[in-house]
Amino acid sequence: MPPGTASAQVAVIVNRSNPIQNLSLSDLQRLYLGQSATFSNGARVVLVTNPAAQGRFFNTALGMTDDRFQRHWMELVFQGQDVTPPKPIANGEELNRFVAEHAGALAFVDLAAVDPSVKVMTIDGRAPSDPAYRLR
Amino acid sequence: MMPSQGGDHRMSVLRGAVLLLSLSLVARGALAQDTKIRGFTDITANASDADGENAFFALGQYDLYITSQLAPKWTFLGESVFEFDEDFVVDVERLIVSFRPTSHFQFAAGKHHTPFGYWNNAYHHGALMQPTIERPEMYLFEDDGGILPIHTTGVLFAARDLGSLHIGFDAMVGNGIGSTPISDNNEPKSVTLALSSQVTHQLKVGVNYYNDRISQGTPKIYGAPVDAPLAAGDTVLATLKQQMFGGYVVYFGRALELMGEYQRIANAPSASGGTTTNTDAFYAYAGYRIGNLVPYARYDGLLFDPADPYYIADDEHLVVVGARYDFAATVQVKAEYRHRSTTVEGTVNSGVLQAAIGF
Repeated sequence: MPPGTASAQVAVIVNRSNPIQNLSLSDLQRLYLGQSATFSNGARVVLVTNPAAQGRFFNTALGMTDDRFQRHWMELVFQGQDVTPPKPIANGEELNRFVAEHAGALAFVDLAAVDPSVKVMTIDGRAPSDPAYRLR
Repeated sequence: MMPSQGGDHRMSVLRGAVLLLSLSLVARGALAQDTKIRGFTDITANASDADGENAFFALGQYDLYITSQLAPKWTFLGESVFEFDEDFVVDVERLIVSFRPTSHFQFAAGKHHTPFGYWNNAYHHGALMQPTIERPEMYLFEDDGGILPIHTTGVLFAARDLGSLHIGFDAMVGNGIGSTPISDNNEPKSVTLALSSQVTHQLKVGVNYYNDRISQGTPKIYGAPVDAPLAAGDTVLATLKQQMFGGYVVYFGRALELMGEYQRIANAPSASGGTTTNTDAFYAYAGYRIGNLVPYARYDGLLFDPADPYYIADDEHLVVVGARYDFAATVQVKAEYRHRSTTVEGTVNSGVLQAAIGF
């Protein structure tokens, strides 16, 4: 992301076959912190992170730094919990392709990098274009 | 970790076998399984005003843990710690085989951290993970003078993230107090029940119950950690029933960190007619994050009934004031001042500096 555009929206994306259209911020937080492992319809989540957008996402959605997020996942694995750490994908095209190919994928990416092969979720009922959207 | 019952040789053999199994799993993992090995260690510098104690450097636990996806729904976790106890020895701290029919439920067998409280199951042996240099006094490991059965070998049924309250529970049956990972010194098994709710992504609350029998002849436990052997005859005179009730509240916010835990341990003669004695164990922790720096404080208390038939009463109060700094997710430094007072030893002030890493 270019310097000086810190308020750019981060889009939360899923596979187009995923029937869920909206996530509450609370559900998004629980999923990315490994406290929940499934969508509300019971489907298992495959978490993806995106280094280009994760600083803003972790800060706005989770109130964490990158290091703190990484430490949190080290703790979950060390506790023996049934979790699969998020898969980091730096390349935007590759990230879109991964989400399009995995039914349970949940990822975040700069809104400008979203392509039509994936579905953008609303968060607390608000789309990224909404001025009150939380992930900006 | 559990008190030895004359099975040292068998324990050595078991430890060797487990290490070989672990190494085998790692080797096989390269071919077929998703097997990972990770570790933690730490180094401390210590100084205190205790009589006769020199300032010193100390290696912490050298902790290796292995996770493996054995098959769909089947996982393995092993944790072995190398530490100095007259010589470097290996302790198998956790060895758990789990079957998870869904992401919510788990059946597991092996050696676990007993599922009571929060700290005991959140931080385990890696110093890097925990918010302070040492565990609270109530959750010290058995061979560090702890008063609670931190580890249990047995079977566990657990659930996570149930319903809108995100309920979790644990039910465990295992070898109890006075046992080892390969034997138990009495027929009754320990039972641990725990219930928790992840109220928000930052707030968790929970309660727990523990029940066991302590056999006649089981060595007593010092109320506060003492670096001395038990006197001859310091054993339980008649079989006891131990029950423990506890709870916790833990909040980790964007900046504020708050933790509080309490356990009441009730020891009573197993035969009817005896008096129940109660021990109260608790701590409260608060920290405040400023970037990568977290100044913090913790207060611990252990309060015994002088007539307790299992604990050698020695009330303890500990105040810890310190700060930790994260250089990275895997590199951390902590510095602490501690003010510890016990009925028997009096007051000791100390300072500790710790570098902790994960690899």
